[in-house]
Amino acid sequence: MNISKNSRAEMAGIFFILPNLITFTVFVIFPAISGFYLAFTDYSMLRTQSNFIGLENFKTIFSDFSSSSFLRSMLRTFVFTAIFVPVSFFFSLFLSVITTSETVKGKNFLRTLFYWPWILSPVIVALSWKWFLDIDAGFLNIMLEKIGMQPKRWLLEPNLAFFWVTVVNIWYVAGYFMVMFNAALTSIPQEVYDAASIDGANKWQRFWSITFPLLRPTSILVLVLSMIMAIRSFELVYVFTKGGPGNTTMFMVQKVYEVGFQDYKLGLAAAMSVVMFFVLLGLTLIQFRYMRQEE
Amino acid sequence: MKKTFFVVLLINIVLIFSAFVVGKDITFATFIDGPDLPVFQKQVAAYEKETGKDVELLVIPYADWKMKMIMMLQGGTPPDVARETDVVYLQDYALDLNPFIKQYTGMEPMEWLDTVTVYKSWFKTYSLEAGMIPAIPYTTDVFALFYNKELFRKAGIEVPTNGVWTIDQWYDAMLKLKQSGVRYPLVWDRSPSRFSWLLYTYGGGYWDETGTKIILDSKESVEAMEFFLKIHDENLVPQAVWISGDAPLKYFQNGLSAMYLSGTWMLPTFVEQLDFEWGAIPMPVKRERYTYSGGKLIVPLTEEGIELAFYLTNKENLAEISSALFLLPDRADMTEVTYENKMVQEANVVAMNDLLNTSPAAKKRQDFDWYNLKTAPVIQGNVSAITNMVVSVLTHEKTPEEAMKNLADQIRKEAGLQ
Amino acid sequence: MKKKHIVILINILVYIFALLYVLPIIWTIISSFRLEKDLFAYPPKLISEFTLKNYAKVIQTTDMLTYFKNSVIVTVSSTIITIIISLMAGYALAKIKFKSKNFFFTLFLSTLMIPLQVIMISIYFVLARIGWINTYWGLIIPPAATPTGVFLATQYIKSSIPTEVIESAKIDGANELKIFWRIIVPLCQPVIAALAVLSFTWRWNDYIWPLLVVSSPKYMTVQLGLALFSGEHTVQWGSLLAMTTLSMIPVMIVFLAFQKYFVEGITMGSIK
Repeated sequence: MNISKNSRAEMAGIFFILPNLITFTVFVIFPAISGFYLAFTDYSMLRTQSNFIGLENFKTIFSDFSSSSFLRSMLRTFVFTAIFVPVSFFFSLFLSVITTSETVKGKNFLRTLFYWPWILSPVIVALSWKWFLDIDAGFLNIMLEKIGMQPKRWLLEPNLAFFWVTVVNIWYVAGYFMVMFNAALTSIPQEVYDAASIDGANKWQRFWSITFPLLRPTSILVLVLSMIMAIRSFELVYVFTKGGPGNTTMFMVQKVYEVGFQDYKLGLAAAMSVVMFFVLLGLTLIQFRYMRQEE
Repeated sequence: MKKTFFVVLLINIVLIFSAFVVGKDITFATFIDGPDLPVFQKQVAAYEKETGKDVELLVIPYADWKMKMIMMLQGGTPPDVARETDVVYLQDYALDLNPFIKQYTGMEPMEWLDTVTVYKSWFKTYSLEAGMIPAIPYTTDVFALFYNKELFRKAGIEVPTNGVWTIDQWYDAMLKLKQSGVRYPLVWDRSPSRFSWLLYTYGGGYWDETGTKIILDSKESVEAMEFFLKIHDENLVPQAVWISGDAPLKYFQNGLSAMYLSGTWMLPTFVEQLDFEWGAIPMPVKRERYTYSGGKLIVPLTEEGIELAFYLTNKENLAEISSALFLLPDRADMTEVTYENKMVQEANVVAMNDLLNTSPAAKKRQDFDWYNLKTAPVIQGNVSAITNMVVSVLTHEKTPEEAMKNLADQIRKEAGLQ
Repeated sequence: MKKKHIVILINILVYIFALLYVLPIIWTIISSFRLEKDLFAYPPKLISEFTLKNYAKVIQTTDMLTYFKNSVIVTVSSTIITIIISLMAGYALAKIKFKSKNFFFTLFLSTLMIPLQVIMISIYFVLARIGWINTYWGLIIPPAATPTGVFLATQYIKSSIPTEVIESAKIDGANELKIFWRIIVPLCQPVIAALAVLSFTWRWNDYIWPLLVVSSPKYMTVQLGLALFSGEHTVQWGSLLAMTTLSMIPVMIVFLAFQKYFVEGITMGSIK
């Protein structure tokens, strides 16, 4: 009896994940594996033959620490991620609280406003902000001049550029995570709140000791997703600063892209992708383990 | 909710099936580079009528052109014909057109080769070395230094009519323009080849005239870079273009800049969008006079595409596309080109003159750098490194000597020269 | 009285914040109604002539209607598929106890870690082999499988649907499929709404995937059409802004339409 119950569960489980499984296998996993072997060759579109070169590509990657190197771009990506994840988490939580709060009127309208950036394609977001921050004709500098301050070279100074890249990325995704938090917040039954206010807890206490813990699954999801997003970020930043000034906003994926499609060094690009994949996998597993420990 | 769900699903299925198209016979891939699409559509339709074949026009955004081409080639589904700017990276995929030339053009291969390489001498060398003819030269465009006549008048500057400016004279003009109130006298395209122009005119470059040594860190090359750095530091050129990839046209278009270092491919855009009088200045000279002519080629990538390729490059169609885009057709028997638009004609004459007077030594180096089968790949494979090098100097991360020596060493290593 | 004032103050602050928040977008929309040369005028002008010229240009010179039609087809179809298969997978990963559950969960997670740019060439190869290049199939089906959708559904089902409901249904003799349709799906309204909105947005804004699959103007989506306005050295700002503004509208409509289903206080009354 036991055996057939388990195998029935197994069959059911597989059945329900089958559509996703097949699609992922065909369109992600299989291509990833077949591209994997390229990492061990010196394949380049500019050469007529490619040779197996073992770990040469990886040696090249790990021996280069110049500012345009893969390792440095990885470092920058980590710094960006370390800031992006917590800030976007709390900021989108904040937006969610505002848009589900009883005090605030016209919540639907507000939700739409905050979600608006996410509706735009990354390219449009980048172009709009570039323009907003344009040194000569951008809204921000115009206003600064009007109030008598010096216009700033927003995207030409490394620290400022990095700052804005982070801000714009957070601005872009906050609405997305807000929607997730909203779905979770609105599914907490009213009885829970009623019970707490009877006990005399005020709003702030109620939030942190009752609501927040109940948001745990969504919080985990948001943290994991935002970390993965940060590590993978490319399109927006590329259009926004092209990695500049210099290389100060060049993140990992941009480096891989340039090596593969501008320098045609597909073997080296594949090797970089392999490194990136394992880094990401490692980080995510660490994150999961940490979460599980907290439980 | 369930009901709407199914209704929507049904509508979708109907829409999908109503749009089913039978597979086309021949594909022609291109990117938009001015008002060329209507011309292609017209010529393709005429071809379809004449031959009864079906042609599908594939349009790919310029920024993703190389990427999409690489994908299609690697994936085994190349377009039958492509309008390309570069053949070096296609060397494994291009066909040899030698056997087909007599059939489609009535000329002997060598005669034909001479005819079509009137502006693309590198192509002749390339084909002879490779022992095959990989493409059909199509149109040529030339670097040009455009200027805003009204702003120049305001600053009281006269452009050279019978000679050329030296780099120093050009610099002085920039200072004068700045004094007269122009925000950024010059705006410069963010492109390795536009930058390389400066190297060549200073007597520098990447490979030397013999194609055996790298001269990227030579005295002359470094001097060129120092000049580039100087005009950026002094805000004579907007730093946002090279440092953060700002699109250059907007500066020239609205009078923020008085000069624009770009090329004749911009002419259709100028005609459509500029509302002031503009012209072209002969490219300034340091040690050697140099300008760069690049352009397009039609590359058939499958046997089915060969007929269409020759069709698009026959005299009639070539004339049509050239006059629509203000480009030079790649044929020796079509070099007498005049345009109705006065400003276009003037600019064209200046650019052609520059081309005729380019120093052979500089041209040799250029060919080794970008076109030679043996020496070009290492430069082409470092295009993003070149841009990075320039940007690192402009942001003062490295000195010109440092940055150029680093890249020169890297190129030497890759080329096996150490 | 004091409380009323605080409420008003909070609302004012929130609204000021919200309006500042979307300022860059408003700037984009306003700019789409100005002439290109006014946009870049120097000295810069904040206000200039109102014009519909950009919109006229977009409608007249581009295949905009085709792009919109394609985007709608692809987005709606893909969203429907996403909702169904994400809920299915979510149910399995959240509630069904099967041995390989963790393995598949990690597998799905790992697919998120491979950025598209990195495996593009291999994917194209696969697409070409199965003949999905320049087809709706290629545009709709692969992106419909989204790990994020699966996780969202998993987390929601895990936390909001108590196992007792399922257990009691099983005791009554229901099989997994019945449980899924009759119990799980109806209880998933908030996550269905969230998935609908999110998936619609993702598919509508997809650029790299359509670029991979499609080069024929017949199948191009709005985002691809937008990209055609940007050359290497020029950006046709006027047209770009107009088309951007237009392309925002469908997603806004969808978002507003599904707002109702984010109702507060959805009770989990089915336990009782």
